[in-house]
Amino acid sequence: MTERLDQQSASAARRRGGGRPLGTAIRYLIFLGPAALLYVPFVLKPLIETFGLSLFAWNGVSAERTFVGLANYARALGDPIFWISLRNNLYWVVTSIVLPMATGLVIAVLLSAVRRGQRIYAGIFFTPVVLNLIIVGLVWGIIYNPLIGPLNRLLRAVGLGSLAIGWLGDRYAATPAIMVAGAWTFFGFCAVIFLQGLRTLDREQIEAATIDGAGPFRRFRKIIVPALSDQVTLLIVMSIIGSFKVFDIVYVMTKGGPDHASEVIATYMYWQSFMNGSLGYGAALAVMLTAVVAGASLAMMALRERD
Amino acid sequence: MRRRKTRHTLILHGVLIASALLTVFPLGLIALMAFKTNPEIFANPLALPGAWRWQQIGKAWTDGHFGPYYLNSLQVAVPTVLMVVIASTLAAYGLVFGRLPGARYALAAILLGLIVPLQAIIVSLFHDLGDMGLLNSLWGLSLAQAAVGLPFGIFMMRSFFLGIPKDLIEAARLDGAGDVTVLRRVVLPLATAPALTLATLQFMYSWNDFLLPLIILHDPSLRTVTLGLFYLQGGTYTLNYTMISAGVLITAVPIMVVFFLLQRQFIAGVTAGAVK
Repeated sequence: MTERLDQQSASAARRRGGGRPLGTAIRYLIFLGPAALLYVPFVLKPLIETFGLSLFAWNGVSAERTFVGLANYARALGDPIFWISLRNNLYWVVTSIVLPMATGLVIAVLLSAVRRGQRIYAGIFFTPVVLNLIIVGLVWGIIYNPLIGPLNRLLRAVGLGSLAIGWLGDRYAATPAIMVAGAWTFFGFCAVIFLQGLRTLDREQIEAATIDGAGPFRRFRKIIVPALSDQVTLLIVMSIIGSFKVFDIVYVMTKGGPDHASEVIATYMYWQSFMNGSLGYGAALAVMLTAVVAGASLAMMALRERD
Repeated sequence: MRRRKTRHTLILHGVLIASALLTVFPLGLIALMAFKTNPEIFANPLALPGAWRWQQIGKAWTDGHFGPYYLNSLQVAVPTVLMVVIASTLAAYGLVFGRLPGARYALAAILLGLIVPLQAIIVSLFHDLGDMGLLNSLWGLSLAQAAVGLPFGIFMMRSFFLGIPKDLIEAARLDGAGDVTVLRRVVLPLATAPALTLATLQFMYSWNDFLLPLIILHDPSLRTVTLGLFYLQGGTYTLNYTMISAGVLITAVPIMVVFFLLQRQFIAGVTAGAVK
């Protein structure tokens, strides 16, 4: 009886179409075909070409490309702007680990203690995360503006007028100023990730520690921080990846200026490739950037697999 | 004891409200500027506008060509989302349930796309798009964005499919269901929620994307909202802070409205994108 039912439903499925198992080639075509049609010409091919291009000198216009071997890579090592860019990327790594993560952690601990309005608060802190970086760059560009910027008004009002400078036009202040704007777009994300970690935290453990006389700072250090180690690792790796990929916010706020002072590898690569006509050198910069980002991304995947 | 608890809660909310205000302060300030005249802005950037000049927003909308830019952004984002969701779902299904020999090599190739930054392909992609006649075209931008978004989409759908019990698929196969039937009747009904999350995320990526539109779209009439906003500051409006602020308002408010309507899905999606 069951057998007959099975046969019936099998033939019914067949009548509906798609009943027959498909041949291997057809399965490949149907399932992976659309993805391959996009992925191969628009990602895989240009990726391979970039590696190739990094071994040539090419201005992007002429038909002639000259093979130069590893000369583009050697050029980077002797290029002071490359080192400025790399140093700025490392500043980004450090700052985006410290500033948004610390703020996010404090916010998350506060949020986990309130019963009402948690979602509304979280929504507000998360708003800068969903805004695009052009909006963010323009908003902070006005904040830092030497003519109309409220930051300098504020500094003068509290008697710190000597600190009121043209933030984005200053070679020392530009990068930190952009990084603060960058932190504004990331701390809410950190807070939400930490908040998810805190939800799994053992309430009883905290109460027991409180009864044992542990103050809020001791509880924070001994119970909360160790419990969040997974989230901390995740956010650190994300910060590293994001700090090396950073482009939009720098480009809209300073274009890497003044005089390349706030340049990062991605903006410098863009400048060399699209403005300076050194496509081979730009490709070499891209390959080096890729090596760092890919390494960090692989580390992140290894971390996920571990869970 | 009880009174102490109330006081604690009050302080807690006080600190949180202060932090929330500090967070939105930059946005609020720009929103006010959009209603001010340029002399008002120069006189005191922190003061309230003398009048609520809605016509300035309207003028920025018209002069900044935001109407056409919104249409362009939609014309790019909608096909991008459709392509990513459809191609990712099919590919992920094939990789998990498709019994494809050598599927691990395909997976490795896709993983490569997930760890490589956009900057690694941008220069060559620019020239390839030129060779294909896809530069300066909204379709070209859509195709490029979909291709770049695809590895993440496949990865996300795949990790969802891996959670579906194999027995369920086997049972359907024993019932005589073929590949297409299993996909349509068994897997797809389960996959609606992750597919919607993927669609939301991809829409946001496409809408906020800057680097691809910057290199692909040269004709000013083809600009997306994000690109159009960027060019507000470079051109005639560099010192017109009213215009820039109004442009920020025009582009930020819709994003914020959508975000607050879909808050749960957005936050879940963005954080899942990081964790999964």
